[in-house]
Amino acid sequence: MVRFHPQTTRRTVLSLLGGLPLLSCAHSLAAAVSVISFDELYSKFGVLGLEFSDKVKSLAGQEVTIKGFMAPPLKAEAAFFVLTEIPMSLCPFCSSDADWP
Amino acid sequence: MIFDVKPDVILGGGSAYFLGKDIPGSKRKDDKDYIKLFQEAGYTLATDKSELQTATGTNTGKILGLFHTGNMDTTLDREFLKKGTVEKFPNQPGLVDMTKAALGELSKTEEGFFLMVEGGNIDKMSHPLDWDRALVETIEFDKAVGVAREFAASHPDTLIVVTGDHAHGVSIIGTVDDEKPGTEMREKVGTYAEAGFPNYTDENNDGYPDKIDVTRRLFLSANNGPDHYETFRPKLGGPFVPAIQNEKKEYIANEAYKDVPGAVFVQGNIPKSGDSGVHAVDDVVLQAAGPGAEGFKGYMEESDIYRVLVDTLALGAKQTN
Repeated sequence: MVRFHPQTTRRTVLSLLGGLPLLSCAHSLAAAVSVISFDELYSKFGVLGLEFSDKVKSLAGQEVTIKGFMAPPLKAEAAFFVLTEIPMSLCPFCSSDADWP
Repeated sequence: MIFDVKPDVILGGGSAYFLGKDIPGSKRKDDKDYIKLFQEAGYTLATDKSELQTATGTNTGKILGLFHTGNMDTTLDREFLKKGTVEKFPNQPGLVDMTKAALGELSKTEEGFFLMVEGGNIDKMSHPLDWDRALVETIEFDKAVGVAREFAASHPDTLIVVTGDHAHGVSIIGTVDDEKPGTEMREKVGTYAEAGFPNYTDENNDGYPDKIDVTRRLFLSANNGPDHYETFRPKLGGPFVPAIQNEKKEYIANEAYKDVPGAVFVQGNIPKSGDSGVHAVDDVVLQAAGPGAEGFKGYMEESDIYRVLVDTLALGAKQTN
């Protein structure tokens, strides 16, 4: 059975990496860092690809805060992690990690 | 592999595996952009039902139709409930549309053609034990066979073969009747003569039940599966997700269905690493019509089916003219 989880693409994951370490100190930096939610990532879903929202595009290269759940690393040597919208234990489509980056 | 073979018509879902990896939504890990490659190879691209219609009118003779980034939605979701991912992909063609488009295109070839049509969602919905979606999908598959039979009526040199590539461990064992007294759902299951007939209606005569959640409906029972909740009802909110993974990587019953009135816990009987029902080794039915159909008879091994096809298409035979 093939599964598809639209919220975790390589691009999403990589683009979020810069902002994630800030979660712990979000209080002190709240004024300076833009907050973005999973719902705000894409403006369009289509067969020929998804489109990043204007908000995502305008924040390119900047530090952002996003709340999510860390998925267990797939490989010990991975230099990134996958952030999911809901915990893995509640996410039926997150369990097929074959397609993850 | 598909690009090496280059079938004239390719229709279905899974565009994420065709898109170049720089495009958001792509699932490719190499640098290939198969959409571009197919277009350069002369294919007309169609991404929804209307574009498929348009593409069938072009004269390129080759169509790549990709209608979803992942699995296409089921007939029940597309046409009736509007659940699943129909909101994101609202204009997906169905198996009947795709069969018609493919036949229209391939029949232009003087030398004949081979077309494989799979009602893929019958299997994809049987795995998660979503029997209502699998049944409606089977109705659409039957209609696709109807399209092929109509084609064969005007093209009598056509062999149609209809079969399954495997069975699932499931059977129709009767009906569930909400009108029966009490709250315990298993007491509302009717078996043998007690089952009566389901009360689906088809007033608009489209071949599909007007409503899937009628008061006396078919009851299908699986002989295997993961831990799950049996709700005895169609899943109107979207395809059934019977089990989800816990932190130990074991599949446990999805609590989302626990509070459906009458739902009961069903203990799984396959390893906890399994998330869904499995295929079964039951013999499957094969029916065929047209020239060469007489090659199918009695009990046959699945691997012998292709021999009949090869003979009918005269592949490997020395051409004498």
